[in-house]
Amino acid sequence: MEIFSGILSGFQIILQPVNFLYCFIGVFIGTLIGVLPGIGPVGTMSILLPVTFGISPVTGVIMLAGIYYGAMYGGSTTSILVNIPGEAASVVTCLDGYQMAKQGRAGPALGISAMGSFIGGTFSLIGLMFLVYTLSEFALRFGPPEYFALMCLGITTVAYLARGSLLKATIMAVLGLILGCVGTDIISGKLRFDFGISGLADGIGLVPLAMGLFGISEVLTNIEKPLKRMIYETKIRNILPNGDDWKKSTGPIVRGSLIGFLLGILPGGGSILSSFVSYSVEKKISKHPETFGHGAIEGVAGPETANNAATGGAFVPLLALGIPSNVIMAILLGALLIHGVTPGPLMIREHPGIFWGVIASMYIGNAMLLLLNLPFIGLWVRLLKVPYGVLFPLILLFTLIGSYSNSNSVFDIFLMIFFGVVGYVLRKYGYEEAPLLLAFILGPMLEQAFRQSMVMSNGKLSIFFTRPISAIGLTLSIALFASTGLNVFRKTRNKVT
Amino acid sequence: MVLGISISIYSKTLKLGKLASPGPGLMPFLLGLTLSIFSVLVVARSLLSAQKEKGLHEEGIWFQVDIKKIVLVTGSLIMYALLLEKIGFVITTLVILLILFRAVGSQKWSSVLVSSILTVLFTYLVFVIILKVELPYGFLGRVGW
Amino acid sequence: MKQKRKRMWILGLTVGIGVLIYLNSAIAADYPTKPIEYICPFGAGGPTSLANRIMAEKLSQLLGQPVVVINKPGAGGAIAAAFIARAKPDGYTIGDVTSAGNGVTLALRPDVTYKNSDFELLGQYGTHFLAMAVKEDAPWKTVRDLAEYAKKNPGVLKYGSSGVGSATQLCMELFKLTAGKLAIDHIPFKSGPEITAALLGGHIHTGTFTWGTVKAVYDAKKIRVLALSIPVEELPGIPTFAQAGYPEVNLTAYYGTAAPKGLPREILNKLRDACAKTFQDPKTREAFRNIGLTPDYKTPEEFSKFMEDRIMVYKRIGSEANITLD
Repeated sequence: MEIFSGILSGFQIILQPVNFLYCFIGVFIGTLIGVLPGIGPVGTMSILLPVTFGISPVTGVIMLAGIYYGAMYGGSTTSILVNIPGEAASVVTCLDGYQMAKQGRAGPALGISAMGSFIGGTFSLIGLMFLVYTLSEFALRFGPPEYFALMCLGITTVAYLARGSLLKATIMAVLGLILGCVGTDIISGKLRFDFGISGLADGIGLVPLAMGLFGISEVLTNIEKPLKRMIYETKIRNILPNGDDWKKSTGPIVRGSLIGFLLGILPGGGSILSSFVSYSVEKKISKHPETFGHGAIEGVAGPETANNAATGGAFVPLLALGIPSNVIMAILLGALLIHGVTPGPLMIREHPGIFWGVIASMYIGNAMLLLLNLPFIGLWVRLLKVPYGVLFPLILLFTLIGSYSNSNSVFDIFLMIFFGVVGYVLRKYGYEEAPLLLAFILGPMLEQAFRQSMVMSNGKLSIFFTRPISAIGLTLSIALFASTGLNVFRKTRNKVT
Repeated sequence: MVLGISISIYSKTLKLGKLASPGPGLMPFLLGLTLSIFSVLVVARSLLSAQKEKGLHEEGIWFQVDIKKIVLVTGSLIMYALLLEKIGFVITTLVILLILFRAVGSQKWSSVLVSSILTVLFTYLVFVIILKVELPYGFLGRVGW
Repeated sequence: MKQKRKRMWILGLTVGIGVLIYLNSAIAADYPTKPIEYICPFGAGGPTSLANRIMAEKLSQLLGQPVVVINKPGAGGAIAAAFIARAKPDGYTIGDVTSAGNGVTLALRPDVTYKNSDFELLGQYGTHFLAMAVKEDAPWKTVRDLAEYAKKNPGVLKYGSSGVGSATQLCMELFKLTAGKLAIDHIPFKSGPEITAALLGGHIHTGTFTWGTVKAVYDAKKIRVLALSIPVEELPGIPTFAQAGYPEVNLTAYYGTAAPKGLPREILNKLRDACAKTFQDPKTREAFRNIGLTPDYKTPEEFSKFMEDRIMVYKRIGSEANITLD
């Protein structure tokens, strides 16, 4: 029952006007940068870090945390409206969310996404509260072999994202893997495929790639025909999701919360997986898998819930062990350390105020975000009615600014343009960009995990099967791969005969 | 047409990775190999279906495509990238907006000017002031913001 | 008439030059008149970026103009270093010099576009010492234990590092060399937190960590620190490598500030002065300590010599342990 007294004290803290205010500021800024493509929470959080020097640690962390999950909420907005993923986790939302927007159903998409995010976020918070320490022990059991298995699972799901030709999607995935090899090899330190360009020494940036491939190519695709025959249905049907939408979304939301939370606790990349594992799961168990990729609301509900649930999960290693699970957590860690607070098992004992205050603030923050985002749905939907001739320069401008502000490098802008054109051409031939992006993200992690495992096992492949978690993961991947392969085989056999 | 794309992908795969043995070259090599296999499949498939549909004239995917616009947009984006750090954010943005709104979006001059200026002001406000993002000054220094 | 005109020219020119000289020094005297860019060689959110932002606060106060941190990560610090080296020496672009970009990279990478002589040093501000750690329940209580075990069981132990060429790798390699060419396999990770997680999970046996990464788990008593690379006053109970019998293992990751070469004397002095004050300011030092950075001020001259020494050491480790970055 210590937990309840703790959370109660936490609420007392958050309800203090100062903290409440900063929570709101954080959440607001977070949503703003989430909506703007390219600028991510990392940059903003570190820029605003000095602001936290002058205020108490609780308040500072509350604000920074607010920025983080605010950005998660906002990221889905651009994915749905203009097919530009706000960050890696929102890529999947582009698939069905944007299709829904094209069908005039942007409102329901946004609405479900907001609700799902709220439920996912809250769920993961509850999980966080009660299971923080047990989960952290579990998370530690994931070493390189386990990550390898996880990434394998992830890669096999990538094919599931295809809405068209599976073969072409696979090619895109392989291309994505190849692009992921560009840069400094993590294990040997050697440069690969950099062609001597210093801008490529660290590989192709995710932001330029995503914004080029999704955003710019989308714009190019849209303007190639005379603007009068333009996209968005002017007849926007509903602003809010209807009863049918809700019914369809309940399952995905529940499953998404679980998937997201569990994957989010894994240090280093778990949260990215959450959204597309959720998507693949929903597609697999759906009775109408062919609707996916063409505006199935389950394809929005599940992943959006998952990626917000993953946010809560990401706090687990930080709060329980003092290990940040991604760069954003690292900034929070830094902020805490600067104030002299060491997160970890001792934090609850020594600084219960901060621990519970932050958790309570996340509840309030989630609620704030819901209230903030819902009214805006009407606004966003109306935005879509703006003639494309006016809209697209703004979209392009934001991608330009976003890409530059991400890395302060003009080279990245060139990269983005390059991928924009390439993406445009590829699209015309029926190649989809989502598999490429996801493979691009997973590829290096997969390779790294594999080679690390090889060092661990002194070259024996058996290591993957002697450890329970990785064995399970790999068997699942193989099974999934086999079943997809079988399906394709059957289909082609039918076609030919 | 599908052929064209496949072939270009295929030729890309000819660049093999560096030395194999769980070193940096293994993955690229395997991937290159996989890619070639798949591209061959795609080529094969399109050949097969082309044979079936002989006689049907597909509307080429490049039909009715306004290439001019594409080139213009791409060109102006490239120009933006080149000039951004030299002339600074404000001017470059203004220029590109004028081009995009007018030449590609076919808006009237009056609304083009107004919207371009408004946008520049708006983005400056949001990005530089609220979000404290660093946008380049260019040689005009403080004058050009 | 020609004579007169010529004289007018000479007079005009002299006056003109005089005005320019005056203006130049006036400008220098008024430096800085606009914000100064501070280039950080690592990503926003990393410990170096944090340290930079802490310093920037104080520097802004002292210089009277905002000091804005701009992250230009990549290539182990080389991108930022190259950028600083090539920037206009007008005092408005300064940035970090680090053991990574200006030490290891120069020592081990074959085709670097800058040299340390391209920089005008302003002073060192801190170092990261390295701590060799094992899990709390590991069987080794001292460094010797570990070394003995490694000798008897070559190829069994694995250590983690935060990347090829990082201080975490070089320190361990140096230890392996001096302890008798131990066979402990290297598993690179992408970042400090990843190695910590791997250590706690039992996936690697040991590693030499920078303090910021393991401070939290050390306080929580989840790890045991066997040795430190240099004496640390906050950790009196732990021996240094030297005390444990390996005096050569005294590596640290170092961080300082520099401007491109060619600064006008006045501006250079102003900057050096501001840096000296900032790096020795108690509050700044306190903040550094909190994020695991050991405040350690060195004057530009000391720093320069130190860097040269270090490059020699890195070169040696690189060749003997067969580490190259290309």
